[in-house]
Amino acid sequence: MSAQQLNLLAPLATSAPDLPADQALTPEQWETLLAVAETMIPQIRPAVGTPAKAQLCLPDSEYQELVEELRRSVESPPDHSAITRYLSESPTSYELFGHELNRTLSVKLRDDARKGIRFILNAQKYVLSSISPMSDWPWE
Amino acid sequence: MPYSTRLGSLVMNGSVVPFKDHSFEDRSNILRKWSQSYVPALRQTFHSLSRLFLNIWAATGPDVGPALGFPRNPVHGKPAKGFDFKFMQFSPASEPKVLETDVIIVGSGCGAAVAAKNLAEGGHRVLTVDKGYYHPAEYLPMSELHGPLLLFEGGGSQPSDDGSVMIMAGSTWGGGGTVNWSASLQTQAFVREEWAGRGLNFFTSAEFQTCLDRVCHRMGASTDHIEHNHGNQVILEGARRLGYSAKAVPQNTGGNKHFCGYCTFGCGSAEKQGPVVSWLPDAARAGAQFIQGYTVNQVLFEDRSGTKSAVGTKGVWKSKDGSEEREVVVRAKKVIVSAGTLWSPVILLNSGLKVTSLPLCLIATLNHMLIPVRTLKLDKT
Repeated sequence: MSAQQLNLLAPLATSAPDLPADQALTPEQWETLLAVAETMIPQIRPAVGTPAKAQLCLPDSEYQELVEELRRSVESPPDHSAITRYLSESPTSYELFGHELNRTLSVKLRDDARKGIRFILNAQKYVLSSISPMSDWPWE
Repeated sequence: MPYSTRLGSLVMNGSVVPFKDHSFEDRSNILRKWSQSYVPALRQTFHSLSRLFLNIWAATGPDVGPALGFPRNPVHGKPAKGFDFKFMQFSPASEPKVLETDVIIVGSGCGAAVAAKNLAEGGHRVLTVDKGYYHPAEYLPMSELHGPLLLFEGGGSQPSDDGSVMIMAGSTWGGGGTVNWSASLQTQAFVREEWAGRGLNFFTSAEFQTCLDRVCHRMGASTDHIEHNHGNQVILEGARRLGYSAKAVPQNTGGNKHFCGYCTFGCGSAEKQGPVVSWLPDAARAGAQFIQGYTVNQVLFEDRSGTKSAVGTKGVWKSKDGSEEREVVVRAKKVIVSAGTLWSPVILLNSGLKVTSLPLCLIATLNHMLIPVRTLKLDKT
């Protein structure tokens, strides 16, 4: 299909409102927040070599079974490579995620919610692995 | 309990390992503890961040759509050209631009557009205004990223003050009628009775039913052409087996089959007979004028023989590209405020009206999609 024909089928491009000029968080807070994001939406890969911090590695047979299960659950199954690309995608693998997260934190979130996230990020930057998790503490 | 002091002590007590340097397994365990924490703020933060990340990823991830079999562009439906509205433009100046008309209608959605057509065809000079902008059919449907930002209030959703409910409300030329799923429900009996009970007897009259039928007929609102998707079929069959009453919602597809599945980010085939396809073009053909990007801040009132009468509006116009602004005052014999459930009360309150004097039907016409913060899972029947 030629490029001109494609233009007849696809909507014309729109422009999103300008991204905010300032960052909602400090560089350290961003580091922690994106680390949380890539843990919640990890790269999923077959267990080959040493896994990176944000990778969920599965034994090869389990990984292949997961790919097939995902393909079966879609009415017009995509090809194998589309599924493996999807599984290996994470929020830090492309820039747009960070830009739009900043837009949400800067513009859409209320002040109290934004302050709450900053506070939690500052407190959670370091985790004391030698003592019991905070959730086990006797909170009054 | 001095929660903030405890957390503050955690920070001040020193560190061992930054979160980002933990293994995936340890990070997962830490987040699992957040999700089950006795501390409400930590649990809520976990769930809020989880929702936030998933929403942004679903809208921006380059590999999400292809994996789900969800193409950017609809497979069904033929792209069409949108109606060529001639919006008024203003040159920048320090003094307000003053316009004069018979009727100013604030809003361009489902209520406003019907009023615009009827009044314009009735021979009145009509000016329909909206703070949102027009995006013709050639630009629709918008992407999962741009749609929420350009077509909805609050960039996608508006939370209630306590955060328990998120409201999705259209904010664009055509209002909610541009972003709805073609749903065209006639006002149910118990709602009409409630309104009539508060003194608005018109809503239980035969005349109101005639109005509803005329509106539905103009849009071709019907269930005849619906082809249900799998999820709908499950709901209908499940309801049948449980002995529940379930009905399909009529769709304003103008008598056509239409199941592209992209309605909420605008109809690219101009087949959904919403305000921008049916009512507002009818109004245009009858001589109505239009302003997009005009935020009405106040309805203006004057004392006429001891009665406070609405005489126009005052607000700010901003060009679609955002480069120009002008204060605009409209003098009119009649003012219709049909700016949606969220904004009509705000405009009227900002205009000096007291809460007790607001028409009660404003409270009842909440046609928006309310998303409870907790969702229910639909099991297979």
